[in-house]
Amino acid sequence: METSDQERMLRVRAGDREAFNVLAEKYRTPVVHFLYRMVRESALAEELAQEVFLRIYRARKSYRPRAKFSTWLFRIATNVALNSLRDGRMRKTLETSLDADTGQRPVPQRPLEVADPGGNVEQRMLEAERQEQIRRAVEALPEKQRLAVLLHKYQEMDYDEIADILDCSESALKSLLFRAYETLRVRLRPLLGART
Amino acid sequence: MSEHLREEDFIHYVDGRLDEAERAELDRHLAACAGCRGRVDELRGLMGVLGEWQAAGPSPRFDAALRARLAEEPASAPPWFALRPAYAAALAAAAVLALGVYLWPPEVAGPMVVPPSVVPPPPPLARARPPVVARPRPGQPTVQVNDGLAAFNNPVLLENYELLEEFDVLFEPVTPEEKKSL
Repeated sequence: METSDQERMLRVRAGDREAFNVLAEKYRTPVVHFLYRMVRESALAEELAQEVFLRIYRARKSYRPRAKFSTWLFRIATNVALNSLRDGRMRKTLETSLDADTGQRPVPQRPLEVADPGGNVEQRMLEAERQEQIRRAVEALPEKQRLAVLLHKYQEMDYDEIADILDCSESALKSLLFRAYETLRVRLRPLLGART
Repeated sequence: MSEHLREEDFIHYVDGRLDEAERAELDRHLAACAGCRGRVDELRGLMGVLGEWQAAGPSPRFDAALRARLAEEPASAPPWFALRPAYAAALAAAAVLALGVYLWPPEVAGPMVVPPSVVPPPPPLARARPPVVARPRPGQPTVQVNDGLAAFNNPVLLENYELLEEFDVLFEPVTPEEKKSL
């Protein structure tokens, strides 16, 4: 029988550090992806992801398997990301974002995992420009809508999990998502019919 | 299903999380409704576009860095006061205070006698004036006053017109005629 994440976390609580390594290995990529889309800086996303796993480890003694492990994990990741943004550590990056509106594009520290790295320079530039437009459109959403979209679209979480993480009802979440996707549909309309 | 799709139905339909019966019902409506079909197509296109946004993953050094940070963690959870230094400091301060009170109980204080040299100077009057000095009669002490109330309570000063003249509350308004009559 496959061991569930909750069972692994209970083992961690009992002192099994290997079980923790398994959880960290399983979730490091989704957590870093989520944090990268929140803070838009790979080094910071990685640092915050480590903070998330450290918090999980420190809280192991008080772990109670009430909800799915991933719900707990992403609730912590959400708090860590929001705290980081509110701490002003991202102020400089956001200023860069304003500069980006005037034509200066921020340079990512590490090459992104682009599905198809082939193609000529012009194609790759167009691809990067599209990604930048998508990023800006998502980033311009109100905080809660943005979180809902990131958890729904990119983490593919269930509605009940997302509602739990965002501390709202499922019907409120559905409304949030609908408004968010409507806004994105309008903002990204130029891209909808113009696939390169 | 003859009614149009509700807001959340579009998202449910596109993200493929409906069960078979629900999906079949929406499919029947979409086959007959161009409006809803158009919106579903737009939402599906939007999901495709959003999927183009790639995110940076963890670097090769992520695991090693996390292991190093975990190695610094104590094997067991630290006690609560290690996590709340402010509480621990407040508790320590309270303990020291309680010990101090126990060892050196405060004495019952009598009436406080303050030597004249310790009395702080009174605050300046709203309207700055030079200190008033009563002209003493032979055998009376010289009294220097800056405070109207203190002067009023002092019988030596009350007998000294020149000094009392300094306190507006007793004499205002003083017309030239009044002054002459005095």
